[in-house]
Amino acid sequence: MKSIGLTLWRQRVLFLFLLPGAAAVLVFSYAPMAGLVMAFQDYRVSDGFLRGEFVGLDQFRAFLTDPDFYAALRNTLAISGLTLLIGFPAPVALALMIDAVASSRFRKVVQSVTYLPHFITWVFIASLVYRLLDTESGIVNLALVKLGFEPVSFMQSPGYFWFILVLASVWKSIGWNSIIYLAAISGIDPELHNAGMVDGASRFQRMMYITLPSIVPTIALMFVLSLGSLVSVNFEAVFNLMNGFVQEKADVIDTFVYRNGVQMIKFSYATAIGLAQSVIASILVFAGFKLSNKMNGTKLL
Amino acid sequence: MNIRATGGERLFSILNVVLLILLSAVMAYPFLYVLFYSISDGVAAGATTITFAPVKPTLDNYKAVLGNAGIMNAFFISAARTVLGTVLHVLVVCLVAYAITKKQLLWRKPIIVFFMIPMFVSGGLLPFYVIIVKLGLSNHFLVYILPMLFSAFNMLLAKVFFDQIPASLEESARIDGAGDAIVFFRIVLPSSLPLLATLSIFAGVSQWNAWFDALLFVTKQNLLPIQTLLYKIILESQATTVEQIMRMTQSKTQVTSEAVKMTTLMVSTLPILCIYPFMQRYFVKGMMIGAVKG
Repeated sequence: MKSIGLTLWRQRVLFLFLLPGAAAVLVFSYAPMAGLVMAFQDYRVSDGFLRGEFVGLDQFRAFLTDPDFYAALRNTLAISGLTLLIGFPAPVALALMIDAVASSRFRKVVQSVTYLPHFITWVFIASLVYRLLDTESGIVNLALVKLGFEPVSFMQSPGYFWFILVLASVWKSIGWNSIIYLAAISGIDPELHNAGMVDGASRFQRMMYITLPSIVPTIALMFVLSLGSLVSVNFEAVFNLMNGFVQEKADVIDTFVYRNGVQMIKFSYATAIGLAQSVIASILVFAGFKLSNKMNGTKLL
Repeated sequence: MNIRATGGERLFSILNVVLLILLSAVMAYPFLYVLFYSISDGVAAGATTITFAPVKPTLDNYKAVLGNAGIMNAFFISAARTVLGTVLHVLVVCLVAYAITKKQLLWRKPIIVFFMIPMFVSGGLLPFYVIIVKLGLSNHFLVYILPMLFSAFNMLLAKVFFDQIPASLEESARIDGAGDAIVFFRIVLPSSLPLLATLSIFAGVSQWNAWFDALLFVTKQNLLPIQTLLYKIILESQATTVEQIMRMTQSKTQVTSEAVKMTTLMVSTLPILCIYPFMQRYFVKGMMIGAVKG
């Protein structure tokens, strides 16, 4: 025991270094985790944590019988499914295309331009989407009218919402997400390409038969990591893009939680939904890791 | 490449370049659009559809927006939270990362696990909301700073970097009798400038772009950062600020509410656009370090 005290004293500066970070994590990460008990309580704002009345699984039963929850669940699955379908392959394709460019200066320009939207807020992007899709003066409708079509009120018609959201998300993330694939591509042994060239393979053939197979492990890893997001949709994107007209198609679990929890102050109810959501997400990621380990024979975790 | 350029080969290259140019145009156009709208005469811009050039170029919109006390105040709040939040975040993260690079640190493994768990488990929105409210941080400037003090991802990044600093550098200082604090502040930090730049960019961008925390916890108008104010005037169509600007510029009736919105959009993003060319090499490198280890 004495030696522990002595070591602690010797390392007092190091422990002092750890202190501010540890305090922040304790208060802003661990305390909210403890707050998850709210999901099993009937928590009111006036109570403290651990002092609400315990109601067991009542909150979970409540949302499982709420039709609005099922609408939010359907929208979440549809949007994240679409995002996976379009948004997952897009950066892979972009990385392959950038890699196939001969001029390194052109490559740099394309990279700079495509990374940029990652640094822009959804507030900005949503405002722009509204402006560009405006029924009267938006450029998209201007083009439609020029081509002889009727103008479409995109942001007021629920039918378009999923696609607008997914396209805007892909626009924002395609460049940034391609970085990881470009890094994987740069790690490919150049000997492989030389051998391909000796055998007379064209640029396109080398892309399809050398580059693409070489980055399959990276693609698999990224796919696994994105499985967890199947049950959640980028909250900021939906929150900024949605409006009263499109709510039936736009309300996802995260916005549902926000509305019930923060706006209607049903803390326990919303916490229960959030908890269920993150448990399912963890299971999906875990299952994905198992699956990918089987597929590749390489261990990811 | 001395391979014979067959017709197919050339076609592929051309097609590839054309597609990439189109894509780049789609990525860049929205920014140009906002720029064109913000330097156009408001009334003229409202009457036609802006496509590829400004209409009746003018700086009136900028004069109106930059002359508005509310918007300038929000701009100042954003700048304050970005500077203060970034400096403190980088300091706290580096202190923790340095301590856990020391192999002799008591309970090192459990301490690392303690800092890593929040990467995988979180309490979610509501418990976080309740904690902040209970701590009395609502409507307080510190709500922008304290919850963003630490990030496990950035800690890993810093740890990887510190691990690569040659041990001999520290040893010579220790022989001269320097303790942990002196070694950290005089030797380790000054030789970690690329790391500090990368972390500052990550933290700075997320501070400047943060808007949801203020929406959740701040109701005082003069404490709102620019992004949240933007959210309120554009997407919640909260008219007061726009009206205020319009009233101020009654003499210049050419300024419309739409032009004000587009100009505010431009102003709020300008700092990011300005430092973007300089930060590129850092974020790509930082992203790589994180991807290898994280």
